[in-house]
Amino acid sequence: MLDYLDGDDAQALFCLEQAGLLAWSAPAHLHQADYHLFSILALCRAPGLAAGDAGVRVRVDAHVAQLASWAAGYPRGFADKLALAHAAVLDRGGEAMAALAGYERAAALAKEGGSAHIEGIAHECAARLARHSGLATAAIAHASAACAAHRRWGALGKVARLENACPGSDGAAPLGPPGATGAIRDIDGVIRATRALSEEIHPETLVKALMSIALDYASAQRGVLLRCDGNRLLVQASARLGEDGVDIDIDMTQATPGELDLPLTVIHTALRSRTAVSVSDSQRPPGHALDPYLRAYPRCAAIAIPMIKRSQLVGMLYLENRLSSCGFTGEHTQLLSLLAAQAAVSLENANLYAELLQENRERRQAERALRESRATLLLGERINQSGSWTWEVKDSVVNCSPEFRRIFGLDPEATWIAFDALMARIHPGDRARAAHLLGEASAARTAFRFEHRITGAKGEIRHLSVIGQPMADNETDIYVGTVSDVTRRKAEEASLRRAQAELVRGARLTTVGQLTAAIAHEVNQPLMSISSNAGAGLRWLQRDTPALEKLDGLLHDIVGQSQRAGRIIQTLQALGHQSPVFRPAHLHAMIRDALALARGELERHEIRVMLDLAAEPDRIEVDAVQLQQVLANLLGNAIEAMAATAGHDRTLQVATVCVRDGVEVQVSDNGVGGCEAGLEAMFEPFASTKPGAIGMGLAVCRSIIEAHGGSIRAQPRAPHGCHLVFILPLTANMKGDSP
Amino acid sequence: MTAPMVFVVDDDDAVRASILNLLAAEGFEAHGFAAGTAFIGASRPDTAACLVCDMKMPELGGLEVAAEMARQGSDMPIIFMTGFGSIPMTVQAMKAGAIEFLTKPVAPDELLRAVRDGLRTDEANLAARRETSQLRQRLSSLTPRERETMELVIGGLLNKQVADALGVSEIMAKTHKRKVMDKMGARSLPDLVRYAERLQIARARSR
Repeated sequence: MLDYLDGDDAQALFCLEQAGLLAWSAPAHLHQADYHLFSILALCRAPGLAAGDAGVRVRVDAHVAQLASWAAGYPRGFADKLALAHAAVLDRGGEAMAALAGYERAAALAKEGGSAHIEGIAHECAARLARHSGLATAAIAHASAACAAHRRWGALGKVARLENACPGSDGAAPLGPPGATGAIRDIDGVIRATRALSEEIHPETLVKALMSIALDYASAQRGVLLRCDGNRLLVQASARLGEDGVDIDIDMTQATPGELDLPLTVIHTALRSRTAVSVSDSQRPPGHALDPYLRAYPRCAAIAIPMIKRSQLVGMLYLENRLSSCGFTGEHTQLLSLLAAQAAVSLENANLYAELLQENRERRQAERALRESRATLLLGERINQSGSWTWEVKDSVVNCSPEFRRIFGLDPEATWIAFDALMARIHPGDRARAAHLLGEASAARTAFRFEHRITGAKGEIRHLSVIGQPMADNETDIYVGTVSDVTRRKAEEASLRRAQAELVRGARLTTVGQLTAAIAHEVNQPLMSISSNAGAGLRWLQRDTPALEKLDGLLHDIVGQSQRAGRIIQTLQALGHQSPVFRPAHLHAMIRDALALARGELERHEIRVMLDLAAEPDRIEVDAVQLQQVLANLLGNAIEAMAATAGHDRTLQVATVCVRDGVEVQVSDNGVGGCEAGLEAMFEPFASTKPGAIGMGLAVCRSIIEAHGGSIRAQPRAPHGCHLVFILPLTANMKGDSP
Repeated sequence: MTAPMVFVVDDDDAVRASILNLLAAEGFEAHGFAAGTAFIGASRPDTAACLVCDMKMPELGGLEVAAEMARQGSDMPIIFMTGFGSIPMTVQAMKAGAIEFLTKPVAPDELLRAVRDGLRTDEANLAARRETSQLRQRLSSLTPRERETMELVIGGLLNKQVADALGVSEIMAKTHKRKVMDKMGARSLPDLVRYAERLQIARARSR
């Protein structure tokens, strides 16, 4: 179509044919009407085609028919185009006068419908026809009208070409509305303004510059810059002409304007039509008559200029003048439209620049934060003596932090280490257990936590605590975690435990001492009385003449005090001996608990524990507290017996097996056995061979086991050590229960 | 001379009664108290006596009873008994003036031996106690002039010096001195000096 307007008919024809092939894709598009119209015009003017060419005729008729059908449905939109098409066909047919009349009619219809470009084309065609027909005056008039019409819809290049082709056509009296033909007189000012706008890169100063320039050029008192945000318009800045210049307020809140802030009908019309809309007191279209803002300020002239960049509406520039009722001129509109277009580009650039700055700032902050957190992490690892690691299970490699490498004594530069190489560093005594735990955890993708030993650079044993968990939301098997050197903590814990044990022992001795004193005092009173009375009786008897009458009272006292002593003993028994409370419990869990309690001692003496808990079911009815006491006692004895040995592997074996009607628990050590002293004697009270012990342990164990209806015995082991076995019955109602 | 007396202080009625039984069977005069305060408040006879006292009693314990007796200037021998003895307790008891520390149940012979020892000790004390009380009576019979003369004489002053100090003639001084010697029952000057020491009389002057 542009080619047609430029006069290159052959090229236009070719393009329109191409367009025709694509037209199906936009059946309801308004441009189709233009496609048909321009096809007709191009075909009619095509110089290479003979007037009688039937093919051309058929194609023209098809386009005309299409236009006619649309015009019938919607006369306002298509009547002018159809009239122009008919005129062109007449022109082509050589019927000059009828064609001229047709062009006139088309121009009139177009003017009525507001289609300036159709009007222009109609006048242009008429001018050419008139010129060809020798109607010079009519030609000049039509050319002038064409210029006016083209200028109205902004086709200034077209106007210039028409003026060149037909000099003097603009000299005629303007036919359009006043101002419509006005050119931008202050070109320099506009260039300066656009340059000023294009030089600004900071959004705030740019907005200020734009508003100052706009208010200045349009002689407006108030201006508002709206930003397009999706479907809404938000106030970005508002400016007001004050006594000493322009006050500009950058609105940070970017609120949606209310109906008393701006004439919204004007804004919306501009938004819809994407053209500048101007209203003034004298020129107020009916649609805007009811606008609350315009009603509030009747003497207000306003203009809303859409800011369009690459056919995208990016904002709106609104200006108003409440002093002048005659409104903004066409020149204002053009100038402001130019400004708005430039401002749209500049604003976009400024916003992009601001975003870029912000992004840069954020990236710098993020980088710094990252650097800081890395430094903090390294420092934290150093202080806590704990390193971090990432284990890629599939590739069987571990990424280690510097502290991790230091703890394990690895090459300080090697970030990656093979998993197997790491496993090889683990103490042989812990390796199998660690491998088992890691294997189980990685298979189930669960977190793990365990402690193991490594041999340090100087051959010393170091204790490490490892915590790991699978990394969330990833499908490749990756574990992350930490490893901490807990050697010192362990040593502290051990010494604390020792101190605690000593404290407990001391407290127990103190308690025993106090208890013994109280008991002794209570029991010795009647004994004292019995003894003295007996002594008195003896003396009466041994007299030369025995005073038998004295004996009666004395012997009665002795009987009474003997019973008093007996009662005291009974009370003490009731105090110390509480009957057991039987409840179902899992024997194996209790054994593990007891071992866990003894773990510190086991580690301290480097005793290996071998468990063989084979009894099924292990649910028995016991007094849990008492049985724990038995287990703790037996384990304690075994540990003490082994602690005293040197030079061979210390092993504690705990096993359970089912026997008839019960469960047998075996606790075996390979320490110095007390068995030689006599197996049965071990269970007698005060039968200790240990320094600092009162020898009640096994006696208490036996009384507890017997209270449970079980039995306990001891056997010596070869070459040394002791084997303590006790049997607890499954109570009748527990038999056959599955665990 | 009246029979010696044994005091028994124990809060346990049965124990106290049995000890009194034993002492009676052995022929001792004995008197029991259920609390230390009762014993402290009771009057002491002018005979040899000893105290058998339990250590652990409510209100006044054995050690407090001993402390109170020491405060009163009594030197009555004390035999302590306890239901449960410990070394620190024994030390404390001995420091408090105990002659024996016995752990219940005390064998009757052991208790009686201790009582006899106690009474024997107190008999010696008693002689001294009696002599002192006699001297005190004699001292109170002296006139002020004689008392003054005695204080000068025990300082070893010559008759002449005594006379000067009293402002009397030497003959008069000699007469006073003889009266003092007679009244105090002193056969010699060293005897008089010993009595004065027993009575804690200070010398007025020394040579």
